[in-house]
This record gives sequence, structure tokens and C-alpha cells, in this order.
Amino acid sequence: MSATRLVGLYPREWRARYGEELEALLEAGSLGLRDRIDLLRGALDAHLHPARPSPLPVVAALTASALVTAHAIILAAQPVPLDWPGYLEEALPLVILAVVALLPAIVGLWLKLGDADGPLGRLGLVVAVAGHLAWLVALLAAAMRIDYGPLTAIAATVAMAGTAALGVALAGHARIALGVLVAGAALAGVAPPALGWPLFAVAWTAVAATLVVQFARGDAPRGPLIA
Amino acid sequence: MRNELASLGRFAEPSLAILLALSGGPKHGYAIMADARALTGERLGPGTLYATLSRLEARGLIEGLPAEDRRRPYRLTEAGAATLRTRLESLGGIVDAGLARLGASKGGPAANS
Repeated sequence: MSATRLVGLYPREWRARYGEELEALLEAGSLGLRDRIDLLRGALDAHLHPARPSPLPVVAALTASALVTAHAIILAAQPVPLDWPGYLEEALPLVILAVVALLPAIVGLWLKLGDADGPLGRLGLVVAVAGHLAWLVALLAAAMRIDYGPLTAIAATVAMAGTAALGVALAGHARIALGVLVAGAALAGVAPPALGWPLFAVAWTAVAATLVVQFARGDAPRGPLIA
Repeated sequence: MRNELASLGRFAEPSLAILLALSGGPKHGYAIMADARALTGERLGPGTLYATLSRLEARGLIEGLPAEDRRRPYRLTEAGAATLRTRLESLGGIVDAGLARLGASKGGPAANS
């Protein structure tokens, strides 16, 4: 991939400010594999830290909380036991959509840690994202009636372990209220379904509300660029 | 001021290298990379260089000057110079204490065994 194409991977706003001088620098020397990987990491970093705060994590958290709340209400209102044949399959679409929405929300929470995210923050992000992806795959498999067994529970538990680590990291970065709520959501996520889903819904609604308030105040993950 | 570089996390070391490079006068990206490597022995990748430059600029520690033939020089601001001085003094204290302890042990770790 040429230097121009690599620079083209950066966000448009970033390129408007630094693109030309970065291209000039790249043209001044030969580009090795390490440089290309470094540029890919730089482009990812620039996308994760946009000049203007992205509302995506907040919207994702709100969507996830709404879906989880709807699922919890359906769960509480249904007249049959949770292990009623076919019930869980019918409830799956809401959970699948909720897990999809939780992924960008999780990334948004990690971005709150800033550059000094620390080993726990990075570990939490990796485990939470991997766990949510595995959970999503397991749920999709269940929706296709391939499997609905312990793998789903294991994936969900891994997702919650990563989320809990993120919560602890947030609390350790002076974001105590948000961190406690996130860790609380993770704990609720491993509780028995009848109790866990309502608590999960309440905790994520509180997390989403906190993110909305912080975004409105301008306390959102900001990019390194001065907008 | 003391924690300004620490708040940059994984960009703290590249930041120190860039501030050191600019302490000798304004430089553009390529010259910063060359100077930083000569000073620290570590090579800054182009992606890391610009991710760090943008952070330092946003924090007011460096500022961009008008571009010259597509290359924009950067210079240290007063805040950047103060941050660099604080960090170097802190490192100097560590170096002094370490050398004093090595001197006191007269021969290094083997002398204590």
C-alpha cells in the first residue's frame, strides 16, 4: 500500500490538519513493514479519538439499555417458566440486538480512560469485546437452533468479566460513579436470569443516563486535535 | 505540571523524545524523528510521531509554525519547556540517587553477595 493510501486511512478532519506533512515525511524515506503497521495503528488511534466527540457510544448505550429493559419486562411478564420450550428462542432477537449495541458502548467506556488507560483498562476492553463477540456468535447459533448450551453462558460470563474490569479501571481513574455502575451491570449479568436481567437493565440504563449527561456537559472522549 | 506527561500514558515516552528534540529549536517531522533517535536510541514510527505531535499540540506543549514546502516545523511552547524541565529534573534525581547507591555499594551487586 502506498504512502498516500496509508494516509488516506486517517479521518478526513485529521488529514486536513496533518495529512500533507505526513505524506511529505513518508515520501522522504523508505517505508518498512514496521512503519506501515505503525501507520495503521495511528489511523485507528485517530478514528478512535475524533476531533469532535462522537455520540455513537452514548446512542449505543441508550439503545442497549432500551433493548435490555424490554427483554427484562418481557421476562417478568411472561406467564411460563424460563425453561418453557421455545420461550428463549423467541426472546433471542432482543438479546442479540442488545449485545450488538453493547459493543460500541463498551469501546466508548474504554475511551473514557484516555491515553493512560493502564493494563487493567486494556485487559478489560479486550476481554469485554472478545466476550461480547463470542456471546453474539453463541446467540446467533442459538437463533439458528445450532446450539444453546453452556457456551452461551461461558461467553456471557467472559463478557461480564471484561466489563467488570473496565468498571474497576474507570473507578480507579476518578470516574467512580460510572465505574461502579458498569461493574454493577457486569455483576448483574452473571446473576440468575430472573433477578439478573432486571438488574442488568437498571444498571445499563443508569450507565446510559450518565453517559448522556457527561456528553451534554462536553465530558466525552475527545481527540487530540483542537477542533 | 508534573503529571502532564504521565497523563499521556503510552505516548509519554514518545512525548519526552519529541520535547527533547524540539528543545534544540524548531524542527519538522522528519528532523524530529532523526533527532529523537539520536538522543534516545529509539526510532519513532510515523504513526506514533503524529499521534504524539497532535496530543502535544492539543495540550499546548508544542505549536506548529507555518508550513514550508509541505513540511510544518514545530516548536516548544513555554508550557512545553517547563514540562520538559520538570521531567528532566525528576529523571536527574533518579539518576543521582541510583549512581550514589551504586557508588556506596563499591563494586555493585556482586559486592553485596
